[in-house]
Amino acid sequence: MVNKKKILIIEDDQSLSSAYRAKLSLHYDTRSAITGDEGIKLAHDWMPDLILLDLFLPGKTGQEVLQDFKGHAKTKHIPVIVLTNLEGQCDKMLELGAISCLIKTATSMQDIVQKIEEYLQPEV
Amino acid sequence: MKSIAKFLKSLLRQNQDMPLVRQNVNFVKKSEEHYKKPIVKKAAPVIYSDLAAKDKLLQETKSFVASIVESADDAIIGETLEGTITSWNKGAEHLFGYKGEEAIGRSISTIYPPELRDELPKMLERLKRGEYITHHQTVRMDKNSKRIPVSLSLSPIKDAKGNVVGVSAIARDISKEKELDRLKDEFISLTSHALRTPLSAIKGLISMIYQGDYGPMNDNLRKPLSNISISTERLIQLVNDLLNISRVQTGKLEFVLSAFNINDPIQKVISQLDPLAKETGIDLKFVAKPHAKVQADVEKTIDILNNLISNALKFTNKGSIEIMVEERDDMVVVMVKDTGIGIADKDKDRLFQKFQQIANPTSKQISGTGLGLYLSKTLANKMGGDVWLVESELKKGSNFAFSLPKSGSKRALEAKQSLLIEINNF
Repeated sequence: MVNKKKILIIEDDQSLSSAYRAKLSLHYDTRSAITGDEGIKLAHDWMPDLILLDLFLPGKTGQEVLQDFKGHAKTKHIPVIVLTNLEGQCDKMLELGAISCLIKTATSMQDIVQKIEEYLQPEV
Repeated sequence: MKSIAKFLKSLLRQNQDMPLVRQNVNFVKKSEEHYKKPIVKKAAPVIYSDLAAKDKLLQETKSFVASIVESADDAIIGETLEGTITSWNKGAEHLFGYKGEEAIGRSISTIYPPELRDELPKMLERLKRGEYITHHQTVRMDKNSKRIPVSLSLSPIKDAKGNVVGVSAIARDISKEKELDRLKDEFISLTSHALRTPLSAIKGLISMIYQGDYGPMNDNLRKPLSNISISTERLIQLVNDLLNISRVQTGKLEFVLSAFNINDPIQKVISQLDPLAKETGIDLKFVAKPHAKVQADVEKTIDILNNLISNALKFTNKGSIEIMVEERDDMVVVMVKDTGIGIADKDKDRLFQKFQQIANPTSKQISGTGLGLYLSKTLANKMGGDVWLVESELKKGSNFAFSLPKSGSKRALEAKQSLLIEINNF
């Protein structure tokens, strides 16, 4: 059995989170977290190959979560795609080490899949 | 002399209707003595009564002005040209915490935060030249070193010959306005997230159902799903437009000006809208492309072009839409000419107002938000350009124009400076 690449989705909106999982689960192994702290713990325990990160989260903000990932040797190499509607924040997130920053309302599911495929080859 | 003056004053009080003669009297008062002495020599009672009335009027005016100054909520401060405080009203006591007797005689720099002390010589220099400084938003410091956001209006005080001899300053506490601004920003930020996140979920889920991610797509569902999708896009557009308008009004919309060939964004928008044009049988043509370089924000230029060309598509049922670029002095003008339904004369004046929609009775397309043209014009204006209706005739079509400053032109430089000034004022 082929091991699927792992994607961690950190998103507090459950319908959006489940839509991402439904879209991605055919080709990837996905898990989701709804708070920043939960996301950080899961990233350390599960070691995903890529992380989708929302910015507006309960508790720790997405920016703090991203800084945490980039500040730890264990997680700093994991590519992070920020998905947000706070477009003013994108430049900052790229500076902090996100590989991409997509505006949710201006991005289709297909755009997200394509962006992920630039970094992870899907297992078929 | 005192008694004569007293007598005349009482006379005046008894004869309120006595005619006053103004001739031969120099009303420029330098001191009490100045006008009393020569007048006693001339001994002209009518003039006496005139001066007494003048004195009374002056006293009353002084007392009237003093009562306004004292009861004003704003801080009203008098300063010398060197910045020494000469008067300090109750409003100033209340705002800055110093009593009048503590403040008078001190330098006005006392209420300047250390990091802003450089402002003082520059301001005094401008006032010495007779300039007025109005509604200058800055920060001052109270007795406890607390920073207070204020709006300052400074005026030079001039003597009879027009020489600047001092400064009057009015400082209004704008803490509440700043707090409201902050709340508004927070509200905008929350709204942008709170409204757009569920919209993103709806948008994503619809596309997944459509693409069969949840099982085979039922043909009966295509039409309603497509309608849900159009409405969702419209709602997303409405939220985006509202946010942009709010940001533009509060100066929070960032403009990244760069030089680029206007053909690039035009080509991009045409390629995005061409499938829709083909679907409706409209010929979308880019006919004149002189490779003109403009100075503008690329993304906002795309938004404006998108709005103008989408509108043309929306209101054209058959025929074509032509896009032309022309260079005119300092400006580059993009024209979007359609063979659509045209605009009635009665509607032309309200085209660029907020929430105005022109109905298209022959089209079944869902209408827009009524904010597009208003926002496009506002954005173009901020970048030193404009959006306007060149001509339109019912059943024949419309021609809209969009201008931007040519890169490197004087107009481009002015637009850049004006955006910078705006940023500094917020």
